[in-house]
Amino acid sequence: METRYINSDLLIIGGGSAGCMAAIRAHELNPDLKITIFEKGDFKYSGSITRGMDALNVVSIPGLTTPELYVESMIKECQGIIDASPSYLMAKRSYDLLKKLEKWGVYFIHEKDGSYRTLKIHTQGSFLTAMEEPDLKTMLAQKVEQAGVKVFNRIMGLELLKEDKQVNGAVGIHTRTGHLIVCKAKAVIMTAGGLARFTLPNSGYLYGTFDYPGNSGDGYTMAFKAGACLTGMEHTERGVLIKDVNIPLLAVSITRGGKVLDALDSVIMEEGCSIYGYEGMVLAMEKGLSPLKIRLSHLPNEKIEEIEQILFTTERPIQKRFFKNRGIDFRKQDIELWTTEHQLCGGHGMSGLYINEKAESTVSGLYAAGDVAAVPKQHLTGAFVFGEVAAEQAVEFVKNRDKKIGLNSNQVNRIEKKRNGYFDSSGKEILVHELEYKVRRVIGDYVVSPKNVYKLERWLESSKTFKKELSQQVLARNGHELSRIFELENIILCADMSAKAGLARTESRWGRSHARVDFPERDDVNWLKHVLVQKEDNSSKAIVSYRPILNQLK
Amino acid sequence: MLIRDTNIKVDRDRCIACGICVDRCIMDNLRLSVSPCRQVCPLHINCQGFIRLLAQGKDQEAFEVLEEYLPFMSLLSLLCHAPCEKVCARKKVDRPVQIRDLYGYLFDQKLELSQIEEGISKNKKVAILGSGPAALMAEWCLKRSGYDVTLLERTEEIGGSLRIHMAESQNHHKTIQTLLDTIIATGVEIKTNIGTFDYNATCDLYDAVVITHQSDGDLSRLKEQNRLDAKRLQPDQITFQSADNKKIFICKEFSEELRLVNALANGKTIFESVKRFLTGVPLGWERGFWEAQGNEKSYMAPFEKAKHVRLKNKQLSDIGTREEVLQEAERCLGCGRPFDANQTCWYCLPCEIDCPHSAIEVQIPFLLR
Repeated sequence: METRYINSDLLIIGGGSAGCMAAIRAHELNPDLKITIFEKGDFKYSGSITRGMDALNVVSIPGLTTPELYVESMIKECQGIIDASPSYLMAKRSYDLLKKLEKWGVYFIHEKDGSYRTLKIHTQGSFLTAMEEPDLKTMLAQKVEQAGVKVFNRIMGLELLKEDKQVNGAVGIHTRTGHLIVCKAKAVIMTAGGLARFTLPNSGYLYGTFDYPGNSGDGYTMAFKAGACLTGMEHTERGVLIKDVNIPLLAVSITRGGKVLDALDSVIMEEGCSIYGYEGMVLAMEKGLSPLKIRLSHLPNEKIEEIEQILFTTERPIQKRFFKNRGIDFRKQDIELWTTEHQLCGGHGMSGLYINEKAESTVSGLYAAGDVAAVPKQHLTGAFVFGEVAAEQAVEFVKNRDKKIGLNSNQVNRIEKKRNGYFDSSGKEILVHELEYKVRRVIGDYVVSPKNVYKLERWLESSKTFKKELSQQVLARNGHELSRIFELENIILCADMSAKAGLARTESRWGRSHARVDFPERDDVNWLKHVLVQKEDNSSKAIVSYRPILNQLK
Repeated sequence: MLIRDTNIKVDRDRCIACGICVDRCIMDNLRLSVSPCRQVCPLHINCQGFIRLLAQGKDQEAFEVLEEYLPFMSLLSLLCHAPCEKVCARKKVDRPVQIRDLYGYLFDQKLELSQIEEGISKNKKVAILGSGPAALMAEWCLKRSGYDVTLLERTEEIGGSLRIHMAESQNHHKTIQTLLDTIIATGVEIKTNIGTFDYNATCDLYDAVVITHQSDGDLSRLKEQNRLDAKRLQPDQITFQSADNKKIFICKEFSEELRLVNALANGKTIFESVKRFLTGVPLGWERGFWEAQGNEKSYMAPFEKAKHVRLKNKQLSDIGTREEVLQEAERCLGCGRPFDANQTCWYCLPCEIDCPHSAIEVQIPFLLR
């Protein structure tokens, strides 16, 4: 199998919302820049926003809300574990972002008086701004292609190239053929998403996850192996979604008058509540009051039609078929909700690369944006804003780094050897999806809440066995299965990081996202700080360190 | 291996096995099982696709399936050795579909493309030595992508070995002349009677140079004239790039040994290589028709009867009337189809949305239904 080499000024790993925005912005700032994107799926629709979106989740509209209020609200939602500057910057730039998108033709809903339609989902302030754009991703993809950016489809990032403490590009693998591609670059922007395939969805279907299942923690592990710090890995987050199909509808329905009820019809959540108030829902379920239900039948028909219109056309239109199959009419029946798989995500949760307000990671030449970066609950706005910020910083970085960049051929040889090892099928009989099922089931048993020392340490033991099984027993019959093996390797490594961080944080915080039964109380005296995970120099071991919260606005 | 439909339902009547859904899948789930006719065609022409549309009376859409090869269609209907017909699965029922005749019929309809995309000028110059089918195919594709092309021909007129066939019949003459006129109309620069081909000077003048040659005699003359040793002109087997000078691409022309359709396929290969070379994409990346493109030959669709398949045999040898064309087209079994090879569907819908013939329906996977 041949390995191909390419050169670029800027490499973007991941062609979703953040990656597209980074490419567009970098081209705006320097049209001569050679930009390359590694995209794991097919670029036209890839990423978590496969098609479109019903809202720009965080917009601070002048005169209505302020960036300061947003930061205040976020500090509450994150129970203090959040650096103020990145979130502040995001809110500050959000209105200009909205205007830019609108200029591109993205449709935002206006009220009769001409103002934008905003909805309240945070504890304070109406930051959610209604949008109806089923073609968001295709619009972005078109812009990127017009900019002459080279997009390589079906390339999964494997490792960042590194020499002299500088990131020099990356190695990717073709998900169909198993060929390697080596891209030398003066700067890398990581936009590879979070880890959607962490524990099993309750359906047992490996790819039936809430977030795009191609997000298998590739960005986390690539950055980890390059020595970058990750934060919030102990925040193992779990959504409450439509039972079985795992599609979100909470924000859309609650903001338009829907109610969440428990099995005995007591109201748990309604309009005006923070949708981050999962706690009440989880408590009710633990008390045996599941399934929870969303009720819309009390709403006037035009409200229900509005909700249907949004749900059935923008983010995940397939749900129309789901409800039709089940014979559910929102006017008559309730919609069952259920807790589902846990995930690690910087956009919905707070796990990912530790970045500052310049989108810089802790490694020189590596920037991050979107779900892979820990700007807590940044959603789509964060992906866009930090995509732009990362591009601005990277373009500047590339300018000051015009000497020829080297290539660590030892690293490429090592990856080739590893790939060939996985591809050698002699004596192997286990199919990759079988091991993935087992791994994710055991992550669900040991790594997520309720957590305790025994369970977390037990995972670290099991993980050693899984790694051995992965390299010695699992078959790769084709390029597709080979890339699934690399994905599984990433899932296991992310679970290791999560377990290490979970062991370190000897308190309970964020409700069920980090509940230690051996340390059931929240401890603000000792634990108002980041738990960072990074690779020990010259070994592959994950070590934990701490960093104080930066409250100061920059 | 047999295909099992899980949650991706394919309407075999509408599907033309174009493979767009396979490209669009963001979970690398779908694969295209390729029909035997398309498998053996050196150009990988989607015979099944245009025949299915023809059977539905959609002549214009059928015509557009063949858009890439357009000026060469009539040539193929005359001179192609039709390997597709030799492997046609319909043989198992009665006799193969007369693919070449359907080609010819479609071309005779004098249809025009509904939309002609003009390539934006790339400001790059490509010289092509020779003007036979491979050279013309490379020229047609490069020109359409916005490159400035110059044809360098040793003799007085362009056409290369096609000129020999012009003498065969009135029809041959007319068809080949129409092709040459179409090529000239693309605005290509043509230099005939070039005499000695100056290898080094041409390389200096152009961004890429394509050498097509008919016989080994052509090649040795070239070597002699420019005092090159044989090794220098050795091209890569897949990309046709010469080992000596990355700017040079060498391929063999249509000749006694090489079939016309292979020569045209060589022209396509040259086009792809030159385009990649001039835009900085690795030449060998995702090359070939199979694995990287998501095409499969080992999986075969079970013998499935679509509504449009006419099973009753009617002996036909001459396709003249429209009625006869429809009847013949309806005989195609439609072997190729997409299928969910990896069962990693996230039910996100791009395959369905981008299907030009609304042939795909994504259902909720069974475990979640």
